[in-house]
Amino acid sequence: MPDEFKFRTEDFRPEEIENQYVSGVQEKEIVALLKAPSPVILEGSRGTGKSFLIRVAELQLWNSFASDKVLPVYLSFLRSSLIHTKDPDQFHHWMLAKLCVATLKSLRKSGVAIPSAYPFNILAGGEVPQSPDSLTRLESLVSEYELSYQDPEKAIERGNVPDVQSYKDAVEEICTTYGIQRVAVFFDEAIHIFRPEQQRQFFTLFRDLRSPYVNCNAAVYPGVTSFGPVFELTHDATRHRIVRDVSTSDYIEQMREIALKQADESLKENIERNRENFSVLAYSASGNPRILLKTLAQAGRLRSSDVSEAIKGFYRTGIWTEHTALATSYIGQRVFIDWGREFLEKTVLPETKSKNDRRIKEGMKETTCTFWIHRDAPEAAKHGLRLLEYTGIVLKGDDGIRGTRSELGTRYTLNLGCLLSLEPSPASTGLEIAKSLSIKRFTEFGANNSAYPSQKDRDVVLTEAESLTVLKAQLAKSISELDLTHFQFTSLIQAGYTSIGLVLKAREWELIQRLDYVGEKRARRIKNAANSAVLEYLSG
Amino acid sequence: MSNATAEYYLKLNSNSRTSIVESTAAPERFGQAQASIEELVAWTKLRVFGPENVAMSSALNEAVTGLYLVAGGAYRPALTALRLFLELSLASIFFSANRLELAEWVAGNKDIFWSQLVDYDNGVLSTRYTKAFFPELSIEIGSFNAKARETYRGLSEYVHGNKATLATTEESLRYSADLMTMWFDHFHSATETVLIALSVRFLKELDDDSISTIAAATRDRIGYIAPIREYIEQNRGR
Repeated sequence: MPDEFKFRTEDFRPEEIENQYVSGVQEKEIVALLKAPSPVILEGSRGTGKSFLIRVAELQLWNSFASDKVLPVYLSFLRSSLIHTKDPDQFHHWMLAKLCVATLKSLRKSGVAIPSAYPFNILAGGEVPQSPDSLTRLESLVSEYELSYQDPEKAIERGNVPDVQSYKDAVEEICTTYGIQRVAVFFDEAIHIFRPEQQRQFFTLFRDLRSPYVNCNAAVYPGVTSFGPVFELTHDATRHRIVRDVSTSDYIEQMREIALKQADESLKENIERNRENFSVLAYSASGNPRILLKTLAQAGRLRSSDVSEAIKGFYRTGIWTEHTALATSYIGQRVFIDWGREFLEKTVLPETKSKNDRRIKEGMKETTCTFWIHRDAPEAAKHGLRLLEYTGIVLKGDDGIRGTRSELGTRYTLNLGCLLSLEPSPASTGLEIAKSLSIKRFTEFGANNSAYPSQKDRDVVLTEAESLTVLKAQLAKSISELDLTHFQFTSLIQAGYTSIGLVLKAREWELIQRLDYVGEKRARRIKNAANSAVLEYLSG
Repeated sequence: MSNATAEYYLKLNSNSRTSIVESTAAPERFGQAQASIEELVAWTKLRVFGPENVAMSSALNEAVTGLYLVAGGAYRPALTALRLFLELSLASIFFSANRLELAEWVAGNKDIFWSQLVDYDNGVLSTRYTKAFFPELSIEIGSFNAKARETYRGLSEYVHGNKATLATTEESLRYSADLMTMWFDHFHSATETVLIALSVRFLKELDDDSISTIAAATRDRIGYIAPIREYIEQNRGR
């Protein structure tokens, strides 16, 4: 077993990405789409490999830059949930500022722009052409915007932030000057799933950026649905979902290749020796590489008992812990998160399992891991299912599928691991169920199923304001929630810093001045404690 | 009256110019290296960086000099400059916790010894140093130390010329794709080592605004080291 599997794209060195890349048919197609001039929205649950494929596309564009002259610009909006403001333009400008900084960085890396400051000016005797001040100004604006959530009332001077057209004009000028074909922008972690207002603004920007010299691509989670008034999914981008279908002939082989890339010699041996057991793990992961690696790490030597225990442990508990943890971060979503879990665990999974048990007992070869929801099911239920998609527990299939009595509805696929984890010994019965799956069989839930959320729960409507309230609630909490020593805690209380928000707003020098025996180090620790308390709740 | 001496050196200069044109026909490698240097410059501008900056300034100058030499096809001198860059930048970090040695070095009374900088017990990539400044990395630091030594040893082979590291033809000022690739590989390892050493020594002493300044670039480059990535993500400003 390797010391540690790398579960996230960020765990790899940039130069390792290429070696880890398993280029199946779908992966090749996605990378080609990302590199092509038309805009792409890449959709996938956590851990399906969105960031990884974006990095591969970026790397390939760098490798071919000399001949193709397509400049990749990568940026992540991971921290966008920190932007809270009543000023509707602020998030828009924050995005633009980040985009300008990232573009500048890529231009520098391409070698077409050269740094003018120290130490480059030393050998040249100070005669390096100066870069335009506006770009430096933009860099500082980014942090000003990032700071702004603390005080949404504060007006921010943004006269110097160019609008979309100015950005496009600048890129066009740079492209024609330096013979660059176009700039390919990759928005990773493009938008926060629980910030519909930001989603709308992002997609508006995405559309407005389109020009012969700029093409945008974005990675999003499945629950992202607020495209705003201007963006039209069919016209303004190609949506591509990362789905590794367990029924395709090369599915197991591809998942094995992903595992082998990170396996040491003994794990490779165990995978070879226990091919069927590995296949059960691979089917259970339902096409999600991160989940495969997580369960593989828990499956010891891959004997049947190891695999069964790993599947039960992860899919009965681990995956749900991750899902339920969302409710801690996003209080307003709790009702939908809890409902989704209840619906799956108490209704969908047991019904599906008993259906499969019956069929197998009767010698029928078709099993199911699919269910169907009537198109008139309450919005609250659909929202709950969207959150399950985000964690990868269900996968939304096609809309407009006919159920019994020709009613229309949507087909969802269950994460196979969740279903197999209900088996007494998943390693021995899992393969039969997985190999006999048929999408023609599904459990139906009509428009008024009693398992749907109650009326009271349906009335919960999340608004942008409420999402700000979530943050405010966190800021208002007592500092007793923070990881502080008794001394730090009492000193802060005595000086009047009673809430997390007050500590967060205080500058370090204020703490040093106002608290006895607190110097730079202690002030830092106190600030760190406050920072991590808020980020924990926001970065989800 | 002809001046053969001038002609000789102008001829070398002309060879170098040809090499520069060929080396920079696809300037991305230089661009990426220039960006790496800028990222290190950003660290030196932070408030925590004190008088030891005198060594870091020389180091960064050597890095730019190395780039100039490599463009001009002077590969062995370029490798020498790169080794000096690695040595001086780690020295500056060493000095940040050893002011007495810094003063002696500035006064010319003491030399820098590579073995001291990467000493397993007291160097800037030692467990002791890491336990004091960034304890989460104290177990992994041994592998970064080994990597730094390997890079330095690789460069030293060329600097000392004690091995048939370069053929005579490769000593002429002429563009060579292979030698250029080799130099940039060494540059990549050296700058990564310096960035890791800087993070170990200073990251926890930075205020939020300073972390924001170096966050993106440091995360892109050495974010694969989880404790560093996580620390940056949790603390990079409000």
